[in-house]
Amino acid sequence: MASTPLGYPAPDSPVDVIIIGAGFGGLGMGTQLAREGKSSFIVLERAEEVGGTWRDNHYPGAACDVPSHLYSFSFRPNPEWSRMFAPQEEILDYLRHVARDENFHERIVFGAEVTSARWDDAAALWNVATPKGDFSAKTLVTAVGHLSEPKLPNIDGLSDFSGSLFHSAEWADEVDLVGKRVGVIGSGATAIQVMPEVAKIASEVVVFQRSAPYVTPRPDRAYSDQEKGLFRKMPESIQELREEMFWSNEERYAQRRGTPTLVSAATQVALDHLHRQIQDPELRRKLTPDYIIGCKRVLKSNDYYPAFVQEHVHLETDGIERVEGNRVITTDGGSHELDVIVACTGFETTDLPIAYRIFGRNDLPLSERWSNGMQAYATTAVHGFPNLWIINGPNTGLGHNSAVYIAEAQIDYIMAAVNFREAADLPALEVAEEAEEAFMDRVDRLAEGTVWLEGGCRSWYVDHRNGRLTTLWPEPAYTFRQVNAHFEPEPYLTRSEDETVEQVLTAAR
Amino acid sequence: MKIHPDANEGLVRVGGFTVPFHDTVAPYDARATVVLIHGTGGNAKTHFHTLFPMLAAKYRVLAVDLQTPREGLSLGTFSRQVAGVIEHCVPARSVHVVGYSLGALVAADLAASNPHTLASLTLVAGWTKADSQQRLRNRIWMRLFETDQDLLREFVTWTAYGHPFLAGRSEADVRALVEARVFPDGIAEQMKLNANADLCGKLASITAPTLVVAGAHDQMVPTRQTKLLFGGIPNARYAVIDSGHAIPQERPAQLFQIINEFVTDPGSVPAGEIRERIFV
Ligand SMILES: Cc1cc2nc3c(=O)[nH]c(=O)nc-3n(C[C@H](O)[C@H](O)[C@H](O)COP(=O)(O)OP(=O)(O)OC[C@H]3O[C@@H](n4cnc5c(N)ncnc54)[C@H](O)[C@@H]3O)c2cc1C
Repeated sequence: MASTPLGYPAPDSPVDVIIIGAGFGGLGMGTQLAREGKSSFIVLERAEEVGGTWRDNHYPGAACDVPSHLYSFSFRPNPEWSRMFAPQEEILDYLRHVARDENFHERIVFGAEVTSARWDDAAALWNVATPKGDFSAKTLVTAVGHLSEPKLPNIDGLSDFSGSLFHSAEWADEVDLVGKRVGVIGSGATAIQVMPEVAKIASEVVVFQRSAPYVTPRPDRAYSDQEKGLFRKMPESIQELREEMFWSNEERYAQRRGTPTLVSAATQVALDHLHRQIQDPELRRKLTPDYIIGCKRVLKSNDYYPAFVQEHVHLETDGIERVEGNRVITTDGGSHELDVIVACTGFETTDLPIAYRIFGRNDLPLSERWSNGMQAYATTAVHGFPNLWIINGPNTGLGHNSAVYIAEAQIDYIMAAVNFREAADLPALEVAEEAEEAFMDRVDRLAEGTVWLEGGCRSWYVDHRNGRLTTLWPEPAYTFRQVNAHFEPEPYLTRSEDETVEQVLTAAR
Repeated sequence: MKIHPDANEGLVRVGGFTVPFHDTVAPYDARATVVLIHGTGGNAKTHFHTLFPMLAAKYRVLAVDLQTPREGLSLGTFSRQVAGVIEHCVPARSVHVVGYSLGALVAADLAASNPHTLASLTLVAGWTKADSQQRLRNRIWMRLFETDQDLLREFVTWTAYGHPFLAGRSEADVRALVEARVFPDGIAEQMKLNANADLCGKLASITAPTLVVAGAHDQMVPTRQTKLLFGGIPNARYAVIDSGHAIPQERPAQLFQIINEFVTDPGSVPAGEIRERIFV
């Protein structure tokens, strides 16, 4: 690790690399650039603080649901995790340390929301506009997240709700929930963390559920002092634990390939959990999912079901018809008077806002290139967009394992690409269209027969525009690394003459 | 329920036995075939319920349910059953054979006597000839089998899984593992074979590219034994998984990746090589 700060690059001249976003993806990329001694890069972050997901989602009960020793960088193990599933503040703190300890915190420009990024073919530069000024770079890495744009439900009258309304990722700390009547819209990963916490202080809680999730036990526990001491003194013990967590998550992937024996075993675990915790037959029925397990994220909680057993917590399964004043009216005419509505309704995942702000060759917006759904070669490069690399973009979501593992594989790829371009002294790397199409055909084939396409549920994994699996990686996480972590230059050199290719490859070696 | 929706279940007469198999054959199937051989007290479903579907996403998978005679069991009894099933299902094609535990000894025996049938050989938690440590466990097993099968269930659970695996589970989960233990017909015969089987004279004649997989925390087949397999088979590579003996239960996903990488190109890793740990 370098011990001296890298210093701030000269303001007006282009840098080698601009990273957009300071979440896990952008900070991981920055770390690897810094560790390789590359001093010419900056990070543009729209907020005033690092952390991305873990800065924004500070709702009560927020925590990761992949164990922390796995849900962290392999190159920055943390012996201090307090629990198996660390709470949000701890994860945010971990990410703050990454930027500081890896000596590139001063290269992050905060309050710098990228409003446009345009490729200048003649200069072979990306020109990036932000409220903090314009920047340019040879290489642009976007790491803006795929669960970073809060999505509110489309409900008549919701915006005129007379009480307080906010999204879980934009938690309104100033709204005191003590003694209030609170509506929670949604029953996904966030809602099941939020609701039990809110129920502790609110006078009444109504959960508006469109479709019941599968909920499994959450094997959470605190790490003992002996364990933390061991992690500090023998770092390899962290690695062993990581491996155990990783492979046990990978095992769950087999369920997603629709093998009935495994699907029914997994379903049984979830239904047993429900039956142990909920006795009332009517409540059980409403909380029983009606689709194949794994089709949407399988959730982990020990306190979600028990929260419903309390007198003041209600489950509403009739759809919401409209909102009138301070009342939510359901499709069967029922109504709930509320003081606060918390929308735990997820994020924009298939139509990413940043795509409307990136313009490639011939000024083509990425959103237009992706008008039928997003796609990228090796999940990171797009034809028509030279020297652009996307972290956590198309086909990078996992239903079963750590997103950080995925981002690390992409970062390895991008580092190799950046190094290759420099060594080969090429102005730009642009992936061939055929290579991109062939890659997507391969992803389509892998997705066939998976529960996401055939499980009979509507989930954010599938793009409604083309019915394709555009957000998820349809294979095990380990396979993601095998397929997407190793940079091969050939698909970027198809427009050159054979001889030039040879020369370039020789020069780069 | 079938082990996999694509699996055809069938029976083959081999010698005096009717041997069941599970085969994911498809019309005009040109995929490489992986043959799975289970271990003591198991069958295809109990030992490979997770590994089978993982492999089936990429390969034609053929798993055999070994049949145990009342007496006179030898490795040959089993390896002839496997050879018969292969000949019936995949005639005149070479196959990738994966054997687990006692199934690894059967696979090695098969490889030594039918060198041309095998495209590759993977031996998971196998051994060469039971040593004193293993024979001691075998004697305890026999005594408990005759006197106290409840205690045997606990003993077997304790020896089958690695200590990190058991320690990482709740009491209730461990109890469930204990209660799930069954002792099917023929298991005592198989235990005798475990004590007496001897591959030592055969290893040198195995020519197929071989991968030996060891469980780092295996108490039933300590790594000393898997290393001897590695030492004895000329064309062998070695891989270690942080698991007890029950590798297909404890680490099926990792086992799958290791087998998949090996089977995809058995020659790509030179003989004698020790596979690096997979860093995650
Ligand atoms: C509540 C919640 C819990 C989760 N739990 C888990 C878990 O347990 N395990 C798991 O694997 N995954 C989990 N995830 C998924 C999580 O999003 C990823 O694991 C990971 O944090 C994504 O990191 P990222 O850097 O790609 O994106 P983000 O963390 O979203 O960071 C993107 C950054 O880019 C910035 N940005 C966006 N647009 C612009 C712009 N135009 N200009 C400048 N800056 C911009 C944002 O402000 C943000 O800081 C969870 C997600 C949520 C919402």
